[in-house]
Amino acid sequence: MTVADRLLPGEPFDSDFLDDVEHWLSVYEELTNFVREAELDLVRWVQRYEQRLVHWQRRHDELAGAGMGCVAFR
Amino acid sequence: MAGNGRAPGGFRHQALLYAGADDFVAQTLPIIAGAVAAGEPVLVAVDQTKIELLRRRLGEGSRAVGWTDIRGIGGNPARIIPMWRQFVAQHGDRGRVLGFGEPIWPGRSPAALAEAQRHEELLNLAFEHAPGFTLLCPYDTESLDGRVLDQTQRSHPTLFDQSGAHASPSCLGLDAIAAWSAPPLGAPAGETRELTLAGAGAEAVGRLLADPAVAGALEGARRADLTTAIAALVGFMGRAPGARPLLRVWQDVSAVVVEISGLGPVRDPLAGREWPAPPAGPERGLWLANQLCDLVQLRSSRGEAVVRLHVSP
Repeated sequence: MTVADRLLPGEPFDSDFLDDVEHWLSVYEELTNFVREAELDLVRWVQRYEQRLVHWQRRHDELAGAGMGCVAFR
Repeated sequence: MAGNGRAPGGFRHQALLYAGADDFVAQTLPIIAGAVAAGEPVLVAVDQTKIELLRRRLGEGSRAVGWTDIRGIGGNPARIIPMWRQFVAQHGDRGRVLGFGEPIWPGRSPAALAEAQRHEELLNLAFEHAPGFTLLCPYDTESLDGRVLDQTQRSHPTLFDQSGAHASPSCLGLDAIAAWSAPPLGAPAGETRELTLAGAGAEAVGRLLADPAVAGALEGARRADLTTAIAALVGFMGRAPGARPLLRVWQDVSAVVVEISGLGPVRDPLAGREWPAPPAGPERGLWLANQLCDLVQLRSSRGEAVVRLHVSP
């Protein structure tokens, strides 16, 4: 894992639980929006948040769209 | 019921006292299996070892259960209520929804333990209007200190053990929980550096944290997370009238700790624990900080709020 991949506390990178995935999707949406809106001098790290957002979007599509992974609550 | 006023009654919040792993499985497995058989949504948030024990015993039935490692999401106890909010919001229209949450385990730091105990109390407020939600909170009587176990009576209307269900003699009422006055934060554990935040932007905070003597334990990504959390708090909480927000930073045994004082007071005891995150206000700043940090401590009086952020390497 590189520095750019550093996870946030409690972030389950490989989770197959849809609720988890939706939670982390919303976390990274909020983070990227905040850093962009606040125009913080954290461009390097915005990219990290954006990369993670893409990861969780992809994971969400896999689980929700293709019916893969955990079948909890279906 | 301790504290006059409303009683926790909207949802069922119960402590489940167990003695070791075998007893944990013996007590929880029939409840989970029964809920699965009834088609009820179940989310189990305990440590990974217990998850594996239950999954093996449930077999195919485990696929109908949601599993979350509480040691991850619950490291910062303020992240747990949003998880349950999400679960209830998405599945609460199906009648009863069942959760198991174990936010207190041996080895938690005193600061994290205090926040976890506060979390247990706040659950009663957060789900006051979720009558279909049953939440069982396992406590290991073999490994937890007796004083910690005694505290379960303040936050849970009902306690379960091998002998059955018992009403708590001292569960706090909702008004008492809402009016709770937190114990003051302890003195910094190390030498502190200070920065007056009036007129100082994120760049100044970033420069301070980049000093190896200040936050050298943190790699760049975590320093950036901490800087983002500070910016979110200062930006959304504002300053208390007449106050000059001050940042202090020091290195604790296991974390870099940043304390921001002079922030605008926070009146909602559940601030920062919403799901989805609110669009603005102190609640959004706290919510963002809760996602970025390993532990967040908030103390608010009528005059000002103080927030401590703990970030581990």
